[in-house]
Amino acid sequence: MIRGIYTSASGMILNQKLMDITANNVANVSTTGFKRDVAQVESFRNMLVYRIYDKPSSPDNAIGYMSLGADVSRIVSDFSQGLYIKTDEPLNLAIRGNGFFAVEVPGGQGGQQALYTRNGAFTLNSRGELVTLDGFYVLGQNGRIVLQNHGQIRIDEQGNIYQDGRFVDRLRVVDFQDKMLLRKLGNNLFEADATAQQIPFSGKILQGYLEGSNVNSVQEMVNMINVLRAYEANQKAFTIHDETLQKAVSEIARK
Amino acid sequence: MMRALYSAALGMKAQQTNVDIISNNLANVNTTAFKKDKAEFKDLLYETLSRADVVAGDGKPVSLQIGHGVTISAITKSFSEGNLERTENPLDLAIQGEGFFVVLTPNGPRYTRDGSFKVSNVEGQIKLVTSDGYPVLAEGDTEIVLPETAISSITIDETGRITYKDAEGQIQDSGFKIKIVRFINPQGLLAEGKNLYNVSAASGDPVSEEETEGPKSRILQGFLEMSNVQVVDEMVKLIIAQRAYEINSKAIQTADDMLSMANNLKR
Repeated sequence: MIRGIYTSASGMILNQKLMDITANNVANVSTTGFKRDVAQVESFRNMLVYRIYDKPSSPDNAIGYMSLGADVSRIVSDFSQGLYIKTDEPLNLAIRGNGFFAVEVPGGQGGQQALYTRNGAFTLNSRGELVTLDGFYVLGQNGRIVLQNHGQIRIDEQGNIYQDGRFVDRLRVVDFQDKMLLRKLGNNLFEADATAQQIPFSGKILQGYLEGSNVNSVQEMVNMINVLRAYEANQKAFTIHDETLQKAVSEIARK
Repeated sequence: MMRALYSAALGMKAQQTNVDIISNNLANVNTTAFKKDKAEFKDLLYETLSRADVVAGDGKPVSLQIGHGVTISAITKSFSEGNLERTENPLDLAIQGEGFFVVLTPNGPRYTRDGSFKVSNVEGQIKLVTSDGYPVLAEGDTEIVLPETAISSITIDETGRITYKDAEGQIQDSGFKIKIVRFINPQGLLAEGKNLYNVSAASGDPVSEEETEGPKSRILQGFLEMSNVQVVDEMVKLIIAQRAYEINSKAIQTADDMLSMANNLKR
């Protein structure tokens, strides 16, 4: 009886977490290069229930298995492609296929750290360096990318940057063997685990485009309805457990 | 649960700002040389519920992270060129290229692409000024003072050199050349209203095109640069922003329903 109360409560807590994830997806429906999060749910470890007062080691004492609830075991990002938005800005880049732009962010011990992003809304700073809108340096094969005061900037599908026909640098675009090893940091940035294996970039760079968020509002609406109903069902189960308990406590004793 | 409420509320807030920006663009659809703004979003901090742990094939390969919503990271200006409108007015100038005119305001020099200039007669001096009366600067940072006869016959060539016909019908060089500057990062300019921009640390200092190598801007006499706002684009953005706002409000409703159910556990 009490076990059931805990099981329903764990179901409610689980659905709260699912709602948190859905709300974050929905909030980022306009975020450039955002990848939606998906939760994987796992039931608690099964336990074998035995009859007591029998011989303890006898195999036919077992009643069966039961699990006392569920929890989120993993939150993985869905790296499917977002839609392309044409902006015609020369410093707006989108990646077609797998891959991430490498950006340089001030690191922990005064050093620099390479992080990764799919948000290709770049701009120049006052020194002519290519930066993200948060001011982090976009990396090329030779480090930071410095562009001239003026002149037509053209970036081809391989990420080669030309200014007035002159080759400047090639964007550092990296891909990972196992994208599960990427961690979201906020600011549209991903951090790669030390064990993440880099593989050559095989996609294409599109100049004058941005990649929109891959959040699908219909899917998220359905998620929300599911979560709400599951939450409601758990709440009902909880209430029924409670009512049963109440009967046991207040009515049985009355006899 | 509270996380969901806050995330969705931030989503609504960000979309509100987005709508503010879009409406300002739409309001300026007829403003000479107006440059449209665009909101850029970024996701906020992630809370790690449990860390990834890679221990020799055993352990969790991914962390458990829940995000905390969204914010507007930047509002970028698109400096793409607006359409040119032919006005036949000799004092209307449009810039083709990345340059800006320099005008002198009481607070110091400001930069603009609005070339709807006028002449003003201050104490007998005929000066080239903006619609707000600020003098337009020539190379050498001097105000442009013209003889009275010049006004009806003024000619400004592609480089900004001002010539006019004198009383005998002879073409005279006024000695003034309109100053055109450019910025390494025009997106860093501060919009001050009245079509004026001010420099900031991010934009870099103005560089006179006269003194630099590379492609120069062209000045077109008798034309004005229109706003680069495309009404269709803005309407589409408006619809998307409204729907995004709506789905975020639905998320708040759902989170609220769940909270109320939780409150009903104890009767």
